[in-house]
Amino acid sequence: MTSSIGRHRWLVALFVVLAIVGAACGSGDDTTTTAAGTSDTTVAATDTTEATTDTTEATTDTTEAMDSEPIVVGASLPLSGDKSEPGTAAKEGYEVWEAMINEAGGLLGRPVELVIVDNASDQNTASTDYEKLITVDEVDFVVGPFSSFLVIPTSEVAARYGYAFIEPAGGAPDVFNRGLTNLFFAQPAPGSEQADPFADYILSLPADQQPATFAIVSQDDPFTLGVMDRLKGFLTEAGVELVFDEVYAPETTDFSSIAIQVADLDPDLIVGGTVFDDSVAQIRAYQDAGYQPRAAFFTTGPSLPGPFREALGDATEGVFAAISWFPAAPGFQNAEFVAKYVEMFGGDEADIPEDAANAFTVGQVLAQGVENVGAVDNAALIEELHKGTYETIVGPLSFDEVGRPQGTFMVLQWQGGSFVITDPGDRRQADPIWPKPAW
Amino acid sequence: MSRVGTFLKQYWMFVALGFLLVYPLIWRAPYYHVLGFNTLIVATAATGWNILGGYTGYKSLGHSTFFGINAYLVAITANELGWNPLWSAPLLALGVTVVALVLGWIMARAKGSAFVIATIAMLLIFRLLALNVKSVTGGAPGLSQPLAPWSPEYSRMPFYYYMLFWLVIALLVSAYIRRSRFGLGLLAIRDDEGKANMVGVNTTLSKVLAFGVSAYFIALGGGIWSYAQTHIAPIFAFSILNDVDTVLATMLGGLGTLWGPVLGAFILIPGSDYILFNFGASQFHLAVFGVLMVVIILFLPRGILPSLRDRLAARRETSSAFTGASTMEDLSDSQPRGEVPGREAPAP
Amino acid sequence: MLIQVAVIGLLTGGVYAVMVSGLTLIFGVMKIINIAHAAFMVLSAYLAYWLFSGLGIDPILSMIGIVPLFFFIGKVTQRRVLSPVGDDPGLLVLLTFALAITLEGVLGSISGSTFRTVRTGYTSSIIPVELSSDLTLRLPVVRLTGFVASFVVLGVLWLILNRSGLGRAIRATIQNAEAAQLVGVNIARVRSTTFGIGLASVAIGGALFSLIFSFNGSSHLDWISKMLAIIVLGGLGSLPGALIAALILGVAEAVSAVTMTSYISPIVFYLILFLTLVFRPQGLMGAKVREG
Repeated sequence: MTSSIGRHRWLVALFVVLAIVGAACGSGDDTTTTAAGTSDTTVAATDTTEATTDTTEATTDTTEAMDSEPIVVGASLPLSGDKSEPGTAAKEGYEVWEAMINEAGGLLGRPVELVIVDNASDQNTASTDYEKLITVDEVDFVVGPFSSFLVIPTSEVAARYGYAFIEPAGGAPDVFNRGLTNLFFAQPAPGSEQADPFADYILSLPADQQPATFAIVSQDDPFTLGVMDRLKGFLTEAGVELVFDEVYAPETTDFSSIAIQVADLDPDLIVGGTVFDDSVAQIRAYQDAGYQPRAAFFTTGPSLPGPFREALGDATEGVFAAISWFPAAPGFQNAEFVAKYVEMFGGDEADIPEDAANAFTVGQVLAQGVENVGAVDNAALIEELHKGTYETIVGPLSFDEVGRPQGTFMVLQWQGGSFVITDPGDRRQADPIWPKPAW
Repeated sequence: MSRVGTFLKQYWMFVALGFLLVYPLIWRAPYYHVLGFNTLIVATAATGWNILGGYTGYKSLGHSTFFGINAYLVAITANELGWNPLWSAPLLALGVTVVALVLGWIMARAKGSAFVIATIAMLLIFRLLALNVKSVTGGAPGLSQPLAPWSPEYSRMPFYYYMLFWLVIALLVSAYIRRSRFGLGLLAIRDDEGKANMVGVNTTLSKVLAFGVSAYFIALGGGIWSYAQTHIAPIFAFSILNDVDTVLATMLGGLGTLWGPVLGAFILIPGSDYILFNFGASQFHLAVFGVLMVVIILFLPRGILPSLRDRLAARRETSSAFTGASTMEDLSDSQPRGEVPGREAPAP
Repeated sequence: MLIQVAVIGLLTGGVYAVMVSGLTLIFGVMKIINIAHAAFMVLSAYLAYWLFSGLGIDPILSMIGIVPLFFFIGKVTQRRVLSPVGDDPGLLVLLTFALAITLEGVLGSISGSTFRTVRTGYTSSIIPVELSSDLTLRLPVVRLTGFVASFVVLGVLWLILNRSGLGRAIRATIQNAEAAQLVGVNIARVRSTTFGIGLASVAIGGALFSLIFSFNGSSHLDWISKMLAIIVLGGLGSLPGALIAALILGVAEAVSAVTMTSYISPIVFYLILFLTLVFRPQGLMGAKVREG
């Protein structure tokens, strides 16, 4: 009995070891296997390409061109781990861009092929991935990962090999103040300027309505702290008193103590430097503590409509947040993007994640930049991106010498179970509600 | 036995080293150098960790504390004083070792599970400090430091060879300790601490020293990693996942053996790269990793090398055809618990 | 204000007590630090969330199904996965860690990384308690529920331990496994049953957790260290110790977040944990535990 179990164990163990050793060899020295196994997107891309060559205006020229060797664009995204939610959204955005550009005849007349790999939200893995994309897979272009943490080291890798690095989601001050010239942030403005339009709105209120006091409760994150610093500056300069300023660790889940303190001080305005789940936890704690501000602003959270509504219900009414894009925005190709996204991934257009739109914007900037250069040439592309202005779904984008975009964000407010754009004025969908109803 | 087989059995170490030396020249893309470098860091760390976890039996899940401290020290001295990380990493790691000796001395009182949790707590404390002391560490966003000056195509190669050099040193130290009186004391502690004390082993001193030596090689890797990475942040520098890699590599290869940690790292790191690449489209790869870990612990609780040795020993019993000294035995010179480790251990 | 903070902390501490009661019991009997404990709690929270969002079943009600299920899972896990490995604490810690990341991976693949929480009709209900004309305590219903539930759970556990044959066997095993075996206790069965009871109690903790906190597959990593701190302070293996430590820590955490910055307080927390382990491994309450 014992010996038969022992033998059985040995078989399984041997199998496992063989499997691991086999896996190790596979990734170590056989590039063709890995390249082929990279992602189903490759296959999907070829399919759409074939399908579209028949339907588009297809002169013999473009047909031949589309049969030519594809332009390969590589990216490493956090598809698992901490940032997997926005990472997956970014992947979808890139895929919509790939599908749309191939339907429209490709880039420089060549089809576009995406290679997306997972970095498990880990800095080390993300750098290694770009190293691999650039030096082993020898992709033509790379585009960025998600969040400042991953953008900082990976943009250095791209810089080392002279690759342009257009990225959808790394807008913290540290991203820009390292002076890299190959990096371009494809959102309307640097992340730290996210709350600027909200500050403008607050300061434009008539004096008797303006909040006299405000509190800041922010997660310790490069992005949120950057936003808080600027907002703090604007408001205190205008005479709004900061009565409470708290930075909490990313793993904080219980905000009841903080909320009771805030309730005790009862500031007119509460500003949350949040990433998502903490916005929900904060609002719940304020409800428990009986704190009713006249206005509430959170950096991220309210802009993820589905989960935010599910977690908070009617408590969402009147909450403000900043956003770079919304489904009804008038930007270049936006209607097509929204339609294609729903076609490819289903769901309701109101629930398309902002992160997908930002990734799509990266594709738009890349495509226009490459067309302007007229060749696959990263050095020329970097030079071009510093000069040009690009039409995107978040509006026209241009970049300064370290890749800071030169536009502004929008302010959204929850009204009646979904959000509307309230600022800046030219993109206003509805007038803001002030003060906000009780939550 | 073929002639090639005999040659391999006698000189496999040099064959392996030779392969590692020419590897970057055959696989020239820098990615392979990065993969090799990452593997070597874990192999070196695991070899160090094994001195405490394997020989002494005290399994720490918090040794990446020292990885993180040295990563920060190297970055800070590079930025503020212009020190070159290539020499400052091994030097500063000595300083970190002093810190480790103090912490080890404090923790020498804890045993069993209490020791394991205490090491985790130590890691969390230092991670929180790194997040908090913003004037020194830059807080959550982390610290950047200058790029290595080498040209891009070759920029990863020096890191690879440098780490390979330190792996060889780590193995020499580990082999020396294993055969020394000090090492015998460690093995005795693992088998029965009370008895070790009675036969005259200074258990506290031995444990503290083992704690320090293992911390040195982990700190060293952290310093060099910091330079290669150019940007470090607390959540990655002080990560329990670094410990998990180290511990898993050791256990996979063979806890308490000389070569096990290295073998484990060379299977684990490229292997998990492969799993991430192929199952990475969702969090499913975590489950794959977890199940593999369970299976390995259940079916290979002592690791590959000791199990191979048992296997060979069993075959030798049944077939008399198998004669001659087996180098496999040297490969996995682990003593099963409770056995007197006497064979190849002359007192120095 | 401090009174309000302290009272909320006390209620939260009660919920902590339910979360950790199984963890400390399992350690007491098996000398296993179950790193997967928080992952099982998150699993239970997800089950409660799915039952609520899919079928509208209140988490308090769904416990009726989840608790026996977890008891069964616990029994099987102990028999098939843990007990074959033997009693090396390092190996067992790693094994339960492996279980934890397996659960994390499975939950993450099923539900992505969006944070979930259960929002019932009473989620933001408050019971005001007027202490004096200018001091009204606001007691959130969900935390109050958790607090009451913790005493029910701990009461039941106490009854099992002190008023049943099984309890006698468990207590005997905690004191001295070998001696217990000699007097005819079936150690293997005691162990698997204890593991089952441990998971059943964390299933209750998970259902309460889903009402109060947001969670995703990776949340267990943040919670296991807190749980460990509590059972260590309470004295590994001691149920009353765990209850007292949970309440103390709940209050201390809440109050220190107000008096210090919310960042310093976790450092103090881990420092106390570290020092306790090194200098008083039997815990602050003094229940002496034999080292495994």
